Amino acid sequence: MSELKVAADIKVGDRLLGWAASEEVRARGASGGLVTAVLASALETGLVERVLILKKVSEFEAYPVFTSDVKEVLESAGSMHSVPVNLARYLKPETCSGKIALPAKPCDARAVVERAKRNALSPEDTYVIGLNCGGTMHPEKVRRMLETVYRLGPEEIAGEEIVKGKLVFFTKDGKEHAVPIDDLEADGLGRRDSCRYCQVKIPTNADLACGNWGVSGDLAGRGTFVEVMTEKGAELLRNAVSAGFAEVMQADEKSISVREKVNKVMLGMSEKRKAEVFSTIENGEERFEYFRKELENCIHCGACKAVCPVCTCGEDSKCTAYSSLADSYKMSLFHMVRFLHLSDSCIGCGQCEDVCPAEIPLTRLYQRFAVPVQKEYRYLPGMSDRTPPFFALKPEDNEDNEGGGCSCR
Amino acid sequence: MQVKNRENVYSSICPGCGLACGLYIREMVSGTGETSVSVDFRKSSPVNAGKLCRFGLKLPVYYTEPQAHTEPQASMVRGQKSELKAAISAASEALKTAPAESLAFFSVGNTTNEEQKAFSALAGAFGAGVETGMGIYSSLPAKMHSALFQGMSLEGLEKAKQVFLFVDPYSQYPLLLRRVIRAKENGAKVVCIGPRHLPVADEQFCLKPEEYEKALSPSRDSVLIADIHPYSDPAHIKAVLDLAQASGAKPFFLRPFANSAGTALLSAHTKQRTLDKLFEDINSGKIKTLFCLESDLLELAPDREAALQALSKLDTLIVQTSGQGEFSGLADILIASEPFYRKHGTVLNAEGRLLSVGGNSTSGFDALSGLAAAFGKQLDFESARKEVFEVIGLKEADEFAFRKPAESFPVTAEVETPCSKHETGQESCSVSNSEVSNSESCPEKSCPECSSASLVYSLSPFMWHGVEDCSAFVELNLSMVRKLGLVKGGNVKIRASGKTVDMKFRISDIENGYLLSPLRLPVSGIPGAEVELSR
Repeated sequence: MSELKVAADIKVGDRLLGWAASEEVRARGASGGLVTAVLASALETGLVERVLILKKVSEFEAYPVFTSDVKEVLESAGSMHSVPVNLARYLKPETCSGKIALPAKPCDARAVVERAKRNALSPEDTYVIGLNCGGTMHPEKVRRMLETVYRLGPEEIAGEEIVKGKLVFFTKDGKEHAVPIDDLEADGLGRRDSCRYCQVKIPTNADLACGNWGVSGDLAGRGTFVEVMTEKGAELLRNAVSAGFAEVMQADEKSISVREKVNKVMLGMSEKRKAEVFSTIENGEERFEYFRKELENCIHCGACKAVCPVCTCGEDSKCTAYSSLADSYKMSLFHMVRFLHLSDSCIGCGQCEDVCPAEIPLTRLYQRFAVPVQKEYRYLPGMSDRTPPFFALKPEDNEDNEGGGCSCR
Repeated sequence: MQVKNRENVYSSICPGCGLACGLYIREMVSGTGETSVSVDFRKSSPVNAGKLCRFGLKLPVYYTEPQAHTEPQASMVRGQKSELKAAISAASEALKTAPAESLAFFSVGNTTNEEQKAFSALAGAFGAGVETGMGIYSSLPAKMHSALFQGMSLEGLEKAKQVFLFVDPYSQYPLLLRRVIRAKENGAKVVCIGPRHLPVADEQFCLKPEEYEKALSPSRDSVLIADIHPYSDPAHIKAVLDLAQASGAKPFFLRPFANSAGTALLSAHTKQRTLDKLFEDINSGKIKTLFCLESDLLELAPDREAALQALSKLDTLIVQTSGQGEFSGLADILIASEPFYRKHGTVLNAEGRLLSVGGNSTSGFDALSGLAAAFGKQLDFESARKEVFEVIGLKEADEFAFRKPAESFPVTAEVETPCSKHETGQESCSVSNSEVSNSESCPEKSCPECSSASLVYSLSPFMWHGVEDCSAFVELNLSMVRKLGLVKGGNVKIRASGKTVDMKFRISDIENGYLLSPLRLPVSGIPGAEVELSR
C-alpha cells in the first residue's frame, strides 16, 4: 500500500485514492466519504462560503439547498441515485454570491460549465466536485421496481448503491437485494432513459473527478478514486487533507486501469444505446410526422424550459417570445426555437423529460437535433469553456476549426 | 418555521385542482417581510412524480400577485387596517348581531380540512352548514352521493381497458393526461366526449347527456372520468352515473379545488345552493351576512358584474383569505390568513389520498376556532384533526395511502334539473365544456357573415383561480373561420346579451358550432350560452 500523501504534494493530474479521516463520515458517506469530507472541510476552513447539497427527506427524496452549516453537509452524505436533480440549475446570479462548492454528476458539471459561459455564475468562485455516474433513476420507477421486482416496501430500505452493474438495495434488517440493471431495463425499469445513452461517465470537466471505479481490494467500498482535474480541485483536496478531514494516497496502476476499463465499458453501452435510440429517419415527411406526433400532447406548461439547466434566458427568451398559445401551427414555435437553441448546447441531462406532464420524450427529441450538430462541430457541450458553435458569428470563427462548418448547408 | 433572510422550502401541494400535485415552494422572506416565491419539482410525489402543469408553474404569480413581492396580507375592518384580533372581534360582533337565518358560510375547498372543520363548527353554531357552491350535491338524491366520492388511484386508471373522458385533461386537469396516455399505451381505448377533438382520443363524441347511454358502451373494466364544479349540470352527472351503473364501469369524479373532495365530505349533510341561487338569495335579501373562507366569489361567479352588484347588497361581507385581489378589497371584515403552502393541515385529493399541505401555521384555524368558541363551539386543532380523520376514514396523512372508496349506491331516483332564466329569455341548462348541447340555432339562417355558436369555457385552473394566463383568445374551427371570413391575425366579434367584445382567435380542432374560451367573456358569463359571431 502506498504512503499517505501530504497536502502540499497534491497537484493537478494526480490520481489518488482517498477517504474521510472521520470514522463517522466514512460510515455515513459513500465509498469512504471523501466527497463529504472535502465539502465539509471547504466550508469549515472558509475556502467556500456555502455548499449546495441535497437535503435528505428519505432514501427517495431530497431537495437542493445552499448551506453554511457543516452539520447539514455531513447529513447530506451518501448515494442518492433516486434523486435525479441537476444542481447546476440552482446556481444563478442571485444565489451565487461568494465562493460555492457543490457535488456534481457529469451532467451537473456540464451544466455548470455551460451556465458559466452564459454568465449565470462565476467559474472562479464555483468549486465542482465531480462524481462518476453510471445513471440515476426516477423515484417513481424506483418505487415500482421495489414493489414489482424486489418485493420490498420503501419503508424497509436503508440505502442503495450501484455495484458492478447491479442495483443493490440495503434493507434495515442488514440484507442486500441485488438485481442486474440490464434485467431491470429490459422491463422498462432501471435508469432514466437519458442516462442510458449519456456520453460522459467520469466528470473530467469538474475540478475533482471522484468515484468508486478502480477502488478494489481492502479499500473496496471504503475508498474513493479521485483525479485532480484543475488547480481549484488541487486546492480543495489540499485543504481537506491539511485540515485533517481527508487522507489520500497515490492510486496504483491497477486502480487506474480498472477505472479506465469500467469507463470504457460504460461508454460502450451508452454508444450502443445511442445507436438504437437515434436511428436515422431518412424521409423528411416521416421525420416531421415523428416530431409532430411526439409533441401533439404538449400542454404548453413550459416546465421543460423552467427545469433546463443550460437555459439561462429567464422570462426574456426567444422560444417564448416567438410563440403564443393563440398560434395554431402543427408544431409550436416554442419547440422549434428550443430545438435550434439547444442543438449545440443540450447536455442530455434528461430533466425536461423527467418533468414533462405529458411524458413527451423531450430529451430524445432535443438530442435528435443535438447529436448530429455536436458531432459535426466536434463539440460536446459542458466539457470545456469553448464557445458553443452557434454563438460564433461565422463558421470559421469556431475556435479549433475542427468542425469546419455544417455540411447540411 | 418561517425563517427570514433564508430560503424556506415547503414540501407542499398545488392548490390548482383536486389532483393536488406535490411540489416544493421555495420562499424567501426579506427582513422587512417581503416575500418572493418560486416553485420546484418534487419528483418523489406519488400523485404527479414532479410534473407540473402551466398553472403549477405559475404559482409564484398566484401567491404574490396582484402586488408582486407583496407585503403580507393585512387584516381590515371596514376599510381600515387592523390587528388580526380586532378583525376576529369585528367578525364575531357582526355574526352576533345578524339574524341567524340571514347568515351564509361559503367555502369551495381552497383550504385545509382542519380549517374546514372549524368553519363547519362556526356555521353549526348558527344552525347552518358550509356551502360549497356545488349545487349538484343537493340536486342529486342523497343515495347517489357516495358514487360521487369514489376516488381511485391514478395508477389504477392506467390499468383500465377503456377510459371515457368527459373532461378535457389538456386544459382542465393536465396531470391526468399522462395517466390516460399510459392507459392507452397499456392497450386501453380512450373515448372523449366534448366539443374539442383531443389528440389522445381513439374515439371522439360531442353528445348531449341523454345520448350517453345510446352512444357509449363502457364495460366493467372501463373508467368514466367526469368532474363536479360550481357550474355542473345535474343531468350530465346523473347520465354519467346511470352509464356507470348500467355498465358496471367505475365513475371517477374530479373537482377543481385542491380540497374540494375533503370539503364536500365534511359538508356532506349541508343543503347546497348553486352559485346562481346564492346570488339570488343575496339579491332578494335572504342572505345579509356572508362569510367566505378562502373562496373568491368574483372569480367563481359566472357573471362578474352581477356578482359585484349582489355583493354590494350585503350588510356584511366577511372574508378570511390570504389572497389580495379585488374580492378581499370588497370585504367589510377581512381576516388575513397565511398562504396555502404555509398552512398546517391536510387536504383530500381526488384519488382519496390525505395529503399534508406542508406548513406549520395554524393561524387560519385559530381564527375560525376562536370565532366558533365565541359561539359555544370549542375545537382545538388536534381534536379537529381527529374528527377529520374519522370522517375521511384514514388514521393519518400519508400520501401513499388511500381512503377506502365508498360503496356505490343504486341510482334510482329522478333528478330535478334546475334550469335558470337567462337575460335573453331562453330556458337553458347551466352547462360546462363537456356538457354542452349542440347549438339549436342554424348558423346559416342569418346573414352569411354571421354565425351563432355555443360558448364553452375551458374551466382551467387559471379560470377558477383568477390567475392571468397568456390566453386572451377564443377558439373556433376552420370552417367557422372561413364562413365568417375571419383573417389571420384579426379578431372575431362576439355578441350576447346586447354586449359585444372583439377577441383574437385561433383555429382549433373542435366541433362546428362551438366557441371555446379559456377566459370568461364579458358578453356572457354563462357557459353554454348562445353567442353571435361576426367579422
